[in-house]
Amino acid sequence: MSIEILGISKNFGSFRALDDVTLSIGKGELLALLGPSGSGKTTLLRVLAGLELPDVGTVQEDGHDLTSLGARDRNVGLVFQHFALFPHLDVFENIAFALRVRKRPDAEVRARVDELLHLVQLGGLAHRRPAELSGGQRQRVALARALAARPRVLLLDEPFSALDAKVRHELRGWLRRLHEELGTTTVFVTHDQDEAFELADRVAVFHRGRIEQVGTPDQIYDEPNSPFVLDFLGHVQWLEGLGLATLGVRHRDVVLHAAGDDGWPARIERIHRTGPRVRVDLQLHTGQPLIAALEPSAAQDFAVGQEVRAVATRKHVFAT
Amino acid sequence: MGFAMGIVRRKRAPVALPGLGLSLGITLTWLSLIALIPLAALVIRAGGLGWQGWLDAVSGERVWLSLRLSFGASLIAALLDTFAGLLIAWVLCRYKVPGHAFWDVLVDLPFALPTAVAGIALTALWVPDGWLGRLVEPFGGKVAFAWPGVVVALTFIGLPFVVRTLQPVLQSAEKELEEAAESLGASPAQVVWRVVLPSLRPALLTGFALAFARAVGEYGSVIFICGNIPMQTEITPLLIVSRLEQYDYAGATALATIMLALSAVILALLQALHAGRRTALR
Repeated sequence: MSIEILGISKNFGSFRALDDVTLSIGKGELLALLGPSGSGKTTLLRVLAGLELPDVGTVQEDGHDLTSLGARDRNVGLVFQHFALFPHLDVFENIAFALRVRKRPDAEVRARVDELLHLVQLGGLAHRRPAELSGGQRQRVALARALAARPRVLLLDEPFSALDAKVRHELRGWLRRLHEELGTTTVFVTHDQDEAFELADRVAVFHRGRIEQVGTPDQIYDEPNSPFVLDFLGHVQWLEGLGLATLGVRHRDVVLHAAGDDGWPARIERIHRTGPRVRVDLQLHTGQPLIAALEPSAAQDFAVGQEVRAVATRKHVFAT
Repeated sequence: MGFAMGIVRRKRAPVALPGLGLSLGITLTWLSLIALIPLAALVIRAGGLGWQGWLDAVSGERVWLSLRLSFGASLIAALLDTFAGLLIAWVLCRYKVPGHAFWDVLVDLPFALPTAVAGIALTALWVPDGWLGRLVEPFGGKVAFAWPGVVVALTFIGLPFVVRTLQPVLQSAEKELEEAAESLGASPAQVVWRVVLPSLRPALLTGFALAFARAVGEYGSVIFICGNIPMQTEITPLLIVSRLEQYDYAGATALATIMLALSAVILALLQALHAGRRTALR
C-alpha cells in the first residue's frame, strides 16, 4: 500500500523529535530511514506503527487517514532492535501470537506458523524458548511473528544492530530476498549507511528531526545535497579557506601524482593499510590535512616524507 | 570447610572469582550458627519427650484449631497481599501518582513499625465502635477479637514483601514486549493476561511465599487484635507462649517442631513450583 506522511511534527517536552516531515512510501518499496541517533528516524517509525501520536500532520494509506488509529488496528508488522520476543512462549507460540489473539482456529494457526517457520528456516526449533536461540535466530523469529497476520506494512527498528557483523551480513541478504519474495511494503530504521545502501530501494537521510535528502542509494551517494549528508556518509575531508564555499573531498576520490602541476602540493605523513585500501595521510602546503584511500597497487610508489601532488577527482562544493 | 572445598573442586572447573571455598565455608558457618544449630536444638529438645509424649503434646483439638487458624489465616492473608501488592506495585511503577515518594515510603511502614504498635492500631480501627469496625457491625461482621482480625493483621505485615518483590521486575520489564503485543493485535486485556502476568509469575510466587512465611511467624500484632480466645482465635505461636508461661517447655518445643515442619514443607512446595516453572521455561 502506498503511504503518505504529510507535515508530521512531534515534540517530547522541549525536544523536537520530528519537524514537519513529509515523505511518500510506494507500494512494495523497501525504504531505509537513515540518520544518527536522536535524528527522529525511530520516532517516525513509531508514528507509522501507531505507537506515537504526532502533534501535527497526518499519515494516510491509499487516501485513508490513519493518524489516530492505534497500533492494534493498523495491522503493521513490527520488528524491534532487541527482538522483544515473549520469553515465556516457545518459538511456535511467539509466531502464532497475532493469530491467537484473533482467535483463529487451531488448524489454521498451525498451517500458517508451519509456513512461516519454513520461510524463516527455523523448522526444527518450533518448541525452543527464545532464551535458547542465537541472536540471528531470535531476529528471524521476530520477523516471522511480525509477518503472521499478513501485515500491510513491515516496520523494522534497527533490526540488525544487536547482531554481530557476520550474522548481520547474512540477515541483510536474507531480508532482501524475503522482500522480493513477499513484496510487502517495508520501512526500516538504521544508523548504518552500508546497511541502508545495500538493502533499500530508497534512502531517507534524517538530521535533527528533518529529512535532509531522499533518493536512491546512487543519488544520495553521488549527489549529496548538503554538507551533513556527505559528512554522515563518512570518509570525507573538509577543506576550508576557499571563500564562500565549503569543499568536501571523499578519501577515495583523491589520487596522488609523484610529479606534475595538477592538484595541491602535499607531503606524505603516514601510510597504513586499512582493510581493502591503503590510507595515506597527507599534509597540504596550506597546512591542512588530507586523506587519500588508495588501491594497494597505486600506493606502492609512495613513501612517507615524499612530496607529491594530490588531485581530487571529484569535489563536493556547498555554498556557506 | 575442607570437605566443602573438596566437593567444589571435584564438581567445577576453576572459576575466575577466587575464594569460593572460603566464602562457602563462611556462609555455612553463619547459617549453622544462626539457623541450623538452634533448629537442631529445638528438634533434640522435643525429642526428649519420646514419641508418645510428643504425640500427646501435639494432639488435641486446641492444638489442631490453632494450627488451622495459623496456617489458614496466613494463606488467606498471603493471597490478599499478592493481589493488593500487584496492584500497588503496578500503580507505583507505571503511573505518575501525585506524592509518589510518600506512597512508596508508606509501603515499607509495616517493615519498620513495631508489630505491637500495628496490632494496637488495627485493633482500635476494627473494634465494634472503631472507625472501620463500626461499618461492618450492622451486618453482623466482627473483625477484632475474631478470626478475620487475624487475617487483617497478617495482611498488613505481609504486604511490603509482595510490593518490594514485584517492583524491580515491573521496572525492568521491557515496554517493547507490550508494544509488540499491541502491534500484533492484542487488546489491553490480552496484553495483561498473555504478556505481562506470565512475566511476573516468578516474582508473584516469591512475594506470596515471603508474605506467607512472615504471616506464619507473626505474633506481636495478632495477639492484640484476635482476643486470644482458646479454640477460637488462638494462633499456634500464642499457644506456644502460653505453654512456656506454664513451664511446659517440652510441650512448647513439640508444637514448635510441628510449625517448623509444616512451614518447611509449604516453602519447599513453593520452591519446587518456582523451579518447575523455570525448567519449563528452558
